[in-house]
Amino acid sequence: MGIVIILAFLALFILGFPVVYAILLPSIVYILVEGFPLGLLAQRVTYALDSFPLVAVPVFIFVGNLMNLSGVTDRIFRFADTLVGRAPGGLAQVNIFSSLIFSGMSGAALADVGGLGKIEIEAMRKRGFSAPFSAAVTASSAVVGPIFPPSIPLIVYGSVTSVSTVQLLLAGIVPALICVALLMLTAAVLSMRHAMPRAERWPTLGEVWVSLLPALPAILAPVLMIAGMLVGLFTPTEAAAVTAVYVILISALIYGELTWAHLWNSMLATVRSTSAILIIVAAAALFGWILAVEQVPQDFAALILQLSTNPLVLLLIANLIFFIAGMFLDSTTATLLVVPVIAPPMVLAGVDPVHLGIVAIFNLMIGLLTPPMGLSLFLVCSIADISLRQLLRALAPFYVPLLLTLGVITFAPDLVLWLPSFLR
Amino acid sequence: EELRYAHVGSEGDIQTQYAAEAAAGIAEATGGEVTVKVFPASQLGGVAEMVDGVRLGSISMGHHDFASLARIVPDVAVFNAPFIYRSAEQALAATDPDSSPALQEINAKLIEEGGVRIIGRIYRGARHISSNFEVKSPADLKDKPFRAVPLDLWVSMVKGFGATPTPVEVSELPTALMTGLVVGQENPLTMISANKLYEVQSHVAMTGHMHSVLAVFVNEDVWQALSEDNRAKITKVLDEKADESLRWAQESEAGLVEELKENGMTVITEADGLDMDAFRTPVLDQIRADFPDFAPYIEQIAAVE
Amino acid sequence: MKLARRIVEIASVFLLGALVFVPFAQIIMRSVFGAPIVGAEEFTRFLLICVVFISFPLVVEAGENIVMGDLRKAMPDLFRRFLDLLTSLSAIFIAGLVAYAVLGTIGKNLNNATPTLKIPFWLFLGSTLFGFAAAAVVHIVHLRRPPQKATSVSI
Ligand code: NA
Ligand code: NA
Repeated sequence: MGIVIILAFLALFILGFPVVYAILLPSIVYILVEGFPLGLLAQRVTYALDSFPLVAVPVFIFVGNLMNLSGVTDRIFRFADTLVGRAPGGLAQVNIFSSLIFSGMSGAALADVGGLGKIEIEAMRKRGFSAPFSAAVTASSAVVGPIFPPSIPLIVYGSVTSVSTVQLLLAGIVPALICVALLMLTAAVLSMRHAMPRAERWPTLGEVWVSLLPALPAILAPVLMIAGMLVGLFTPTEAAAVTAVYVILISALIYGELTWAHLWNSMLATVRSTSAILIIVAAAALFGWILAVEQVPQDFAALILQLSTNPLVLLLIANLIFFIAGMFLDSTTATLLVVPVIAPPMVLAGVDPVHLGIVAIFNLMIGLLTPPMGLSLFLVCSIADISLRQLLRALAPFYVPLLLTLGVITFAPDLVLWLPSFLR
Repeated sequence: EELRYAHVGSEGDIQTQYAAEAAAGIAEATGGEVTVKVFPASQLGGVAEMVDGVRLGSISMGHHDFASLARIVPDVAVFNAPFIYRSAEQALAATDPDSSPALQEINAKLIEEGGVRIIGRIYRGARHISSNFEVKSPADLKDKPFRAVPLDLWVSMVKGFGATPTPVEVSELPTALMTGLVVGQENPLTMISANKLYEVQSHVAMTGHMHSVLAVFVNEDVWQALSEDNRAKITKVLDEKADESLRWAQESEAGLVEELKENGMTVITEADGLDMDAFRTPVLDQIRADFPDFAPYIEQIAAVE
Repeated sequence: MKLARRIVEIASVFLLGALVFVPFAQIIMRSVFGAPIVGAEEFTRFLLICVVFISFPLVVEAGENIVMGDLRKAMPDLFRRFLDLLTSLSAIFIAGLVAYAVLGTIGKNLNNATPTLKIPFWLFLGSTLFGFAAAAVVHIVHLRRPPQKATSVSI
């Protein structure tokens, strides 16, 4: 029965039904056939959004819209372009590196795409990069966000498995840096091969200074956020609200470019984007509930755990399971559904739970970039105004550094566990 | 008949062991007439979803803090109140659905207003204060930001501690402690150890201010659909497991204290100068002031042997 | 229709404003005045639910539901129009049924409220009811006047 529901969803999805209805239709039929109370539908769909971490999603989308409309974006990129625009790949490098900086203030990949992504794609297109390439760079670099602290998925993983969140967060730093380096290398190779735009010469110190000054209030934002979180002024979710207020203030007071029309338009765009994405999270919660009742994750795990008890083989299997789970479920649902089933037998067999956590979350983040349920894909498509097919074609080379990073994470536990080892 | 039993406990927790063993015990006691399929670790949703799922019947039974049922009958939270039990054994006696007058009175209201019945309980350990400085009396916590479970009862209790109640969701608790957003929190030792809070906290004060007892509850229609014989057998299994859960908790507490010490925490007991009366009096006063409706139940609970 | 949309827009934008303001006010109250607002997190989560559902009809109206439309675009015209009709009809059925299910639940859960602020649960469910009921209406209107936008994926 579980398989039938998954297949029904896939069929509707491929036939071009809106994702929210492609999920809800088989779920509703299941509820009616099995005689579950209809109230389950109401309850599950509504409660799914009763989550404090999810609050960061609309707020960061709002920040992105606002920065775009009020000219903050342009100043950041004028500065970044002045600074590293000469490097092969130019703004593509800035895009990737800024995701690392941004991820220091955001715990969610979607917030990166929704916030910074909008700015990055805009700037790259203005500079002459193709829209699909800009979108691909943005989507792939957003994977880094939830691996680098702070991270909502890692905190959820920690709470499900009772693994130390501090160790998990520390463990993510090295893989995040490796991933960024490999992505930048890929962007450099691609842009040299296709002769993509880069600045004509390196900047003079004076030029750097002149472009730095107007960008400074904006560049300071992530610094203030990180500092605020480190000294305990606010939590990662609250940091989103601080960023929003800060951006309103600097665009109104310092840049003087914020109008009521800007504010209204960016808020309206934000509520629509938010609703289109989170309505799917709501529907997926019902879908996940049904899969859990049908014991689909358990059966799947039991099937695969019969194959081997060797930790390395198990890790490869875990990769496969989380990769597939990430293709269908959003990361929170997947963590809540799959981790409690997969983790205990693996840990018993000798897999380090912190290591497993990084492997799991990185897979789920790649899952945001794979159809059918790749929320990052959908979001970035809409921002760049391109089709899914165009994006997937441009994204293809970027799967290489991502899978390479996954390989390193999987086969070199010492590298992952190096920083947390100082706490053990 | 197959019952769907959901809870939010994770692997290794006493409540998870309880649910698994109770499910096996029920199948055996009823000769397979009633089987129980357990869905641990929030698989069927978080606390609010689970409680409403049991009310609707999409989930047959579940367990969680008594206070989680306060959305149906507010007074049920009294069983979570601090300093109302004299000992762990008395806490179990005062929450016995077969014999505790306070519980029976509230249970009747739960059935009437929510279609939910409490049929058992789990002892999950005493809650203690952890902090990153020495705490011996409320004076040490004066006006410091202290994590309150985002529920009225906890806010009231933390006020009684003399600290500033600061609501933090459990998912953000380790980060909040690491960054100093809050400087202390309270939980059973098993939670402090499982979440490795010793990495971000230096001291544990063995206040045992709350005995954490979880209510096991069932959808009333599901319950009445079972034969009287099977209901009696299930109740018996749950009662035996409740006693076992108390034993598990007490056995593990001694080991946990050692484990926390090995991980560098300083453990403060009454022998080290922890002033329990200085905690008890203001906390109980605060609770009485904020929850006047609790008074008759507190008396009934105190009267239980 | 235009007035209705305007009202929903104003409500959604107001809710989003509150969603940003409440956590920010919480930080100020906590760090400047040392008196955190009890229940701020609960209220913020409530606002999130309202934002998502109240603005759902705006998403439908603008044709911004997330869709993978590449295969359908490549289909023969007749088959594609058949699928379009089927999609609209099932969207009306699903949105209507969800609204109906929510209505039934509201009837049952009248005494349910959030733990700290005692926000009655019918308010949460009310936003879900509004979102799906209004979405069903918009889908019905679209049967006659489908949205102009036919991009493969959009948000
Ligand atoms: Na991050
Ligand atoms: Na980026």
